[in-house]
Amino acid sequence: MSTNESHKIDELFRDELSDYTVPVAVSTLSLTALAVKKGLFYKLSLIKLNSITGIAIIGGTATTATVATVATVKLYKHYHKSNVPALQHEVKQADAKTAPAQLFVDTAQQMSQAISSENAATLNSEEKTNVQTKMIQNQVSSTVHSIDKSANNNVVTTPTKNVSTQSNVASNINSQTQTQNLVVTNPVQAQTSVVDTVKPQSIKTVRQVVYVKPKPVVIQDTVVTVIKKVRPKK
Amino acid sequence: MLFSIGKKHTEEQLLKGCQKRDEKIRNETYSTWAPYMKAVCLRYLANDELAEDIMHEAFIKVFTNIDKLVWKGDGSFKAWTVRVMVNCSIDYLKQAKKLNNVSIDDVAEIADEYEDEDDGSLFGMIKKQGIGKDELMAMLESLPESNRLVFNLYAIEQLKHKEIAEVLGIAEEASRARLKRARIQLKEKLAIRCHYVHKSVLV
Repeated sequence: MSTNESHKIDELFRDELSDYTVPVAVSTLSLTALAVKKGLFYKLSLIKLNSITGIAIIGGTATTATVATVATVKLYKHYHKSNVPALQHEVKQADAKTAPAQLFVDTAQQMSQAISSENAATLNSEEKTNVQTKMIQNQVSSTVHSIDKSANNNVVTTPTKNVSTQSNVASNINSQTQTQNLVVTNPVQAQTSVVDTVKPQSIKTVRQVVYVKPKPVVIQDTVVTVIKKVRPKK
Repeated sequence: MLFSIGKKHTEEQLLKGCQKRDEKIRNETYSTWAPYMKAVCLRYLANDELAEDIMHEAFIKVFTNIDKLVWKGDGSFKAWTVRVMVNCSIDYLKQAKKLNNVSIDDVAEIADEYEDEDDGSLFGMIKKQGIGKDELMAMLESLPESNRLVFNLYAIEQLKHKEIAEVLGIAEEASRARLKRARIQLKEKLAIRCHYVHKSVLV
């Protein structure tokens, strides 16, 4: 190969690829979530999609938080046919031994089941709200319980009093439901050292749930898309 | 609110904002540059998911080490960020022990493989047919990792062989050999793409 040819090949690739861009699948949220393991953001992941739907991603690794966060946003878009209106994302680190991803995936599955098997299309907004509220309430409660157990009772659960009023159906939810729905788990101060700890079992859990239980279809697609972003840690 | 990107800032404003730990500016920096930076990582890693992962790692490094950077005019912040992306990509590959060494025999073999011969008509066909960026990227990604790294660093980042040798921890001769091999492989791919037949291309 001549020198001239070599230069031409170099030039061709340099000129064409020096400004090449690739779409980025994940949002800025994942950057925040990933930053968890770098210690920039601590504590517990709490996502309040609006006053009705609350999904708590509690503890876990940065990757798990990324998966759950991105998937949650996609799930919201899928379900509400719109972008997340006001997403408040607070990342805190609790106990990585818990199963936050499991929480999310189960929630996603239940949501999908609620949508498909119960023919949610025919439900009115209030009924949908109640279905969502109930299952999320259950999920959050059980997870908080799980964390409480695994963290040797070091976790303090604090009902949140400040319920958002963005949704016009929020008023249809009774106060007890609101309180339980928006349970917030305080960070486990003594366990912040696990921030950098990689917990591959969390990822495994997600994969098992997603692949072993391939339903519901629509939501699963969303989740699988996200799961593909997971790179097993060594 | 993390989704509100806000107005567009100049590169200098982005740098200053990031140095002040301004979360909105960080988000804007990320949102603006992520597609480009991912492409940079992709050129080295040849894996979409991995490229995105490493890009995130690199962005975190950028934000945590941003205080070290002094504004040196337009393009300096972006160039520094690109360098972080490149270094993170290479570091990953090094850690993964994926870098292969080229033996002296390989060097000799490559050096003797082709005589200097001007084969300009291939590039005439390339120009005439037009090859998209995606196709070129795919060709680059398909190269063996060791060759792809050197080609990227030399042809696109425009590093010298001495610098490449230091970055990759290899001998300068190995860098030259890998570059030559990469060019030959790319030429073969280009020739196949353009249906170009010549004895110096198809061996």
